[in-house]
Amino acid sequence: MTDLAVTIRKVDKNYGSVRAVQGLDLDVPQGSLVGFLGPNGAGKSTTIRMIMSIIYPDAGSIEVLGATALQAKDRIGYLPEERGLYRKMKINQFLRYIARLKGLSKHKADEQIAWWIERLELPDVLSRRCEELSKGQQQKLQFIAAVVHDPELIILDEPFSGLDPVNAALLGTIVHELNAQGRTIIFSTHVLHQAEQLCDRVFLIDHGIKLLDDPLDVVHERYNPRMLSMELMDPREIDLPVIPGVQEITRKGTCHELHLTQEADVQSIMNRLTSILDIRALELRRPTLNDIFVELVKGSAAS
Amino acid sequence: MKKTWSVAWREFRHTVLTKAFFLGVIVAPLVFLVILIAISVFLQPEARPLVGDVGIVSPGNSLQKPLQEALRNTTAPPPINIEALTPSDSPAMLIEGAMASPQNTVVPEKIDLTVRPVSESEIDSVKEGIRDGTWTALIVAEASALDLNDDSDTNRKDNRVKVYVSPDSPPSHTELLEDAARLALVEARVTRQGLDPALVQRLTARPWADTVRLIEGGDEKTEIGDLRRFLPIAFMIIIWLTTFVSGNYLLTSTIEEKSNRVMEVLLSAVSPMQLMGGKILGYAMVTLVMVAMFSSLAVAFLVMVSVLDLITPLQIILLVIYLIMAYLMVAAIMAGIGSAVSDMRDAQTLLGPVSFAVMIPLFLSPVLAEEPNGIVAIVTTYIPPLTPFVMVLRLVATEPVSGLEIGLSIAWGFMCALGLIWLASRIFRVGVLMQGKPPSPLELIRWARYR
Repeated sequence: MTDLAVTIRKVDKNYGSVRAVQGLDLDVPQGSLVGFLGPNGAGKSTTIRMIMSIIYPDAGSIEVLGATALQAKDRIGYLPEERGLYRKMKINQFLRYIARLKGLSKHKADEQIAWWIERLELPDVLSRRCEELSKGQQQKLQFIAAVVHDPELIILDEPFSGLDPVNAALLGTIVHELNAQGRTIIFSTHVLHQAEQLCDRVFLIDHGIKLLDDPLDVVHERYNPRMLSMELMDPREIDLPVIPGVQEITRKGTCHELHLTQEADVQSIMNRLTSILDIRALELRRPTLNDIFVELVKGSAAS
Repeated sequence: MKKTWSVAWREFRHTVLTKAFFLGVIVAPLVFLVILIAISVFLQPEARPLVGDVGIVSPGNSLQKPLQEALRNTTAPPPINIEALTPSDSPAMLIEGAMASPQNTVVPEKIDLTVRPVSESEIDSVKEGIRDGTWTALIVAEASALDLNDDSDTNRKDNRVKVYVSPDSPPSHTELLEDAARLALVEARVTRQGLDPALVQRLTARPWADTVRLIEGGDEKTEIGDLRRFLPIAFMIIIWLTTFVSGNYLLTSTIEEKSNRVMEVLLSAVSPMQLMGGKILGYAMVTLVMVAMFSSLAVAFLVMVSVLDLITPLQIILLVIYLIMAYLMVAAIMAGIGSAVSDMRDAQTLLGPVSFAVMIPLFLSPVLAEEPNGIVAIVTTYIPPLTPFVMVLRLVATEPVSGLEIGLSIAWGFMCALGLIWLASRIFRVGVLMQGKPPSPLELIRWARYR
């Protein structure tokens, strides 16, 4: 058994003259929770579809769960970005059909469906038609269709869209539970703070090219802007004496942002500030995934 | 294979076990058939009475008497007494009845006409009388009508009879008057030659002729010409109808899955080939249900008219083989079109030429029936997707098709069917994930070439 759930090597995919994915390399460790990020048209869906063996690469290789993508199909759960249901089909029929396609026996399928319906708080829906459910309920139904066969690798494309905060939290909890049980989870999203809360690793592509592929803490460290955010007890303009390591001071609302040099000793600067100013809050700014995303994508567009 | 079967079973269940299928494909044709039989048995149309005065203008008033006789002898045909039919009578009578045009069966409920001689100077006033209803009709025979001319068309025009009727005179009245006038003219000509019209009529009555085909093995088979002509077309229509109805279901289901966006969910569980294969298999089962239904009706008809032996067991086996071939070709085309477009309107645009192409054998059926081994038949046999449709017409025609050609057409047809399925699968795997405007032919070729 390999330690990697997904291995992508030098994968290219073109649609006519459009280069959707170019020379992509990617390793997804087993048991990880990976955020798959990128702007619209970056090649996320194409990559996911290739992992799912819905489409095939023009060049390169993809290995999923130690096998070819096609062989591993029944061990992968997939929630596509564009939700799809048979509108007129009854919910139990739909879920049973998907479960059967995923290789479950009739008995096992019914058992799993009952468990997941309960877990996702969808009581008394089995005999209703898919079109009778609300958007949020349909979203949960789709999630069940993705995980009903107890897959080892789960790929979720925008799993939280259409969910209210309560249901989004419920789904987030379930995603964490599945990951804690050892499932590898890849999810693509535009809501970066959700990725930040859930993921232990991020993968960013733009124009089909990989820009970032690291554990989240490494990313934070690498893109540390070295900035102090300071709020005074009495909001006013200040004229600080020269403090070694402070490059520039800018004001944002009630806060002052102190841009530090790479060599600055943060601790001594904070001590100096607290000694000369009446401070309400002082914080070493941590870069958000959003900041990193914007910086990298802008840089990619410029190059 | 298990997944392909799961897809097939869903498609079959969700098509056949629906009210729409039950009503549209099973109940509607049966109801139509029952209504057709009921109309032909119980609702014999009847024209209004044909009564009044008929004026006749003829050389030497020679047509008055024969016309009166002809009109007096025109009565409604006796109804068919089904109980009195014997097995040997029934085929011919039933087929004769089926082939008769509806207007021929319309007979005025009462005919009471008086033929009155009219001079040439009175023609205009009688015509006026026809308009205001005091006269029923006027029949005018040319002066040369009784002359003996040769049979060329030019001369026939010279001795014609004209029948003047009112604007609201129904076809049954005009046909009856025309027939009576022509009969009277012939009778007058015969009398003028000093012959007995009744004797001449008996002598010239055309006898009934049976065609007896000497079939292989030394047997003889009496043939019913019209049914012989009708049968290949009937079988071709059954195959055309069932394959196209099933193909349409396949097309609709594919487009629906695309527009519902459920396609990607399915493709996460099965490969595009398994999905397409499952659909083709599922709708093959739907086709079988429809063929079983229509064929039982056809066989019931053949049994009823005691001509089941018109089709041999070998022909039935070959018909099934060509049905499978036709279905595979149509299904591949429908799967390709369904995957390439996003709505039914776009699909209809692409479907039009295909439907027309497959109808070509039907337009060619007279040629194929007359010369089942002629050049047209042979050439069209090897043009996909016409192969199975042309072969069905050729197989049930009179002249036997050689075993070699049957074998070749089957091999070629299935090769083409597999080629179409391969092409459809190439388009399917790309097309099912595409949305928006339908692709151009060039784009389809590009899709087929994607890795």
